[in-house]
Amino acid sequence: MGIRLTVFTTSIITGVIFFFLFAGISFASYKQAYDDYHNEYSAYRQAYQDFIVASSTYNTYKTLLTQNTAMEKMRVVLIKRDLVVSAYFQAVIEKMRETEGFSADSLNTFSGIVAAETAYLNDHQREINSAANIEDLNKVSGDFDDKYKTIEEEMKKAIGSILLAKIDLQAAKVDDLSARVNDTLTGLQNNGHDVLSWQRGLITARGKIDLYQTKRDAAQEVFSPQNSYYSNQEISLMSGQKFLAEGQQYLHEAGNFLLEIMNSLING
Amino acid sequence: MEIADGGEIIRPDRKVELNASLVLILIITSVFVFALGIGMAFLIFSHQNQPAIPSPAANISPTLTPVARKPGILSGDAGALKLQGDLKTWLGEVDNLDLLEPQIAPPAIDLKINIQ
Repeated sequence: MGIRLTVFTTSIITGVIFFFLFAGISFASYKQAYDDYHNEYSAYRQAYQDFIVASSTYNTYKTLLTQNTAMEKMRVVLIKRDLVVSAYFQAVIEKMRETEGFSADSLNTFSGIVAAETAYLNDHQREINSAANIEDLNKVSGDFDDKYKTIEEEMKKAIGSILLAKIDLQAAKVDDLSARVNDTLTGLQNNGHDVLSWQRGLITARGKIDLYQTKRDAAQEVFSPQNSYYSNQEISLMSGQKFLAEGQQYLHEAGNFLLEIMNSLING
Repeated sequence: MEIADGGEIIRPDRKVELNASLVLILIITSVFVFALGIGMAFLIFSHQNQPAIPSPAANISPTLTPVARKPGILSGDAGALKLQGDLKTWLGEVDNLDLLEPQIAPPAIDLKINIQ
């Protein structure tokens, strides 16, 4: 008996330690990735300011020395810009890992996209380093500009998928709560209670959940366009977030109706 | 009014005559104003000397008649209380849901970086 209790207690303590350890690692991973991204971004901003000064000096004096300085500063800022994008992608991956309810399939898909973009950015950095003159540098800089439209859309899709995962989790919870309220009312009805007014409240709550679903679908269409209207234009994060905020409001209202039903059943 | 030969204006002497009815009106008005003043002074002083009377509304606390409230049909039911608590918790989660996530907004980087 004593040995069994000791084994049981040890198992519990080990489980708790592992839970906090992994939870801590998960949180630390995103925080670390975000800090790295933030540091890269600060370095990029400084490099950009240095480049602006060097470029302006070159345009004023047009000497070989100022030209070389401007080229070196441009090389630095272009590489820093690539590093910002790579660090940002890593932070987003960690954010996805940290987000409760984010699907493993979506994470794998995005990881594949990031691997491809990272390969492109590595090649791009080699091209920046091997650019021999101003024309070459301007060309590799322009290549990134063309590519960045695609990269930015992928970033927005990734953010959209994180936000959708967050609200989907809450919607699943309210579906469960609504089913439990329904079970409660059914039980009362089976015992001969008149539950008509509460059932009306439940229907209203479910109507709100349906309205949430329309807003959620609209947001998904903005983040991952399927029809031609959205696919022919840039993803607008703000539009998607607006739909989600409206959906969030409907979820809140549905929850309030359910709570009112329970308050009435308990408090009279 | 006449003008003398030398161009000097000659004003005729006029006496101010008070009409009897005008005098009467003045006397009546004065008496009225005086009486009004006395009346107001009386009112003011009589209020100051009176002890303060507490307002009935301030002192008398109304006795509430207890409303007979019927407890709910699931009053005290553990399952119902659990569901009520879960709903409250969930509402808190929904209200605190951050759907902006400004930290993971795409980075504001510059395009068209080149040397002219």
